[in-house]
Amino acid sequence: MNTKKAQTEIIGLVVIVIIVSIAMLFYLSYATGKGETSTRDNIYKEYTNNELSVSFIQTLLKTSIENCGDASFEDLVYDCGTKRQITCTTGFNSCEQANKTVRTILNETLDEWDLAYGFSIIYSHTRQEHIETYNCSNQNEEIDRAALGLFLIPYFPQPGNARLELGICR
Amino acid sequence: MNLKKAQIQLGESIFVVIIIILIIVLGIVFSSQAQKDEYEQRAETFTNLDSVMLGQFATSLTELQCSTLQVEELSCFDLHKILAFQKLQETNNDQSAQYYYSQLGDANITLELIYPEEKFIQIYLNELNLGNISGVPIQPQEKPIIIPVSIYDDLKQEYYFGVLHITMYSP
Repeated sequence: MNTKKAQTEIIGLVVIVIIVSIAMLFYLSYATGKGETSTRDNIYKEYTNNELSVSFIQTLLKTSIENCGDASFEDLVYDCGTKRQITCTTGFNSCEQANKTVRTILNETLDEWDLAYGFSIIYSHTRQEHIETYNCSNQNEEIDRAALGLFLIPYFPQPGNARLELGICR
Repeated sequence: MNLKKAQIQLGESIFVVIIIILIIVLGIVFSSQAQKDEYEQRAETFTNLDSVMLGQFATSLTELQCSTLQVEELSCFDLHKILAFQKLQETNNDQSAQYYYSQLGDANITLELIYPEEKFIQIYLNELNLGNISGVPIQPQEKPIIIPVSIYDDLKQEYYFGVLHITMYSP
């Protein structure tokens, strides 16, 4: 009689274990699905960040600069890093004009859209002319290295180059 | 005595059945909620991917791209082609709207000139609104895709800094 009662209780226990296992399986499959979705979302975010940063640098370099004759932004950066012959009708030299143009465009685009980003123009040899802006707001944010807009302007035939970088914060 | 024992056992059985039913109901609620969440997330992901495709398509519209000796320039739109495209939409609205709806769908594509002067140019806005005709309300995407593009003015031979704002509408 006692053995039968014990067997029945064991069956009850087994049923409970089975129910808990099924619940765990459900939860695990749900949690795994969530992970996949966040990976897909990251791909989307990476794509949009990449498109923004790469196209931004390409477009900026091509842009013709007002009051500087036929000079493009790329010409200004090249001139700033080398001979500094370009003087715009506003009286600014190439470095000052490049700086002013970048500030204007950044103010009216990334700043206005409240996007956190890091932007820099690093001139080899002429350290004092660097333009650097880094406004990833908190410590957890950092530049998305996988989606970095990067362009090098060689000073050829002279040695060195100017390096333009734009990264959107994660 | 036997009757009381039987009553207690019956109570126990009822209690166990109630608990099992409760667990099953909770399981069903949880799994349906999880499925609903998953479907919503999938729908959002597909909308995002659709807007990425739309972005790719919009930036490579041959009708608007700059070209030299029939070679297209990347990330560059010709200002006068844009103005001609706008005119086409105005003068031949129904036909062009139908043609571009099959390629661009429910969307709003606006070009914002940033430098040297600020100016907005509406490139495409679906006015057929097939979503509304079908009875399913459509909503603009929360975050529009933003793609910087060069705008080339062939008369002045100058490049301007512009930005494409691409907003997709989805049910």
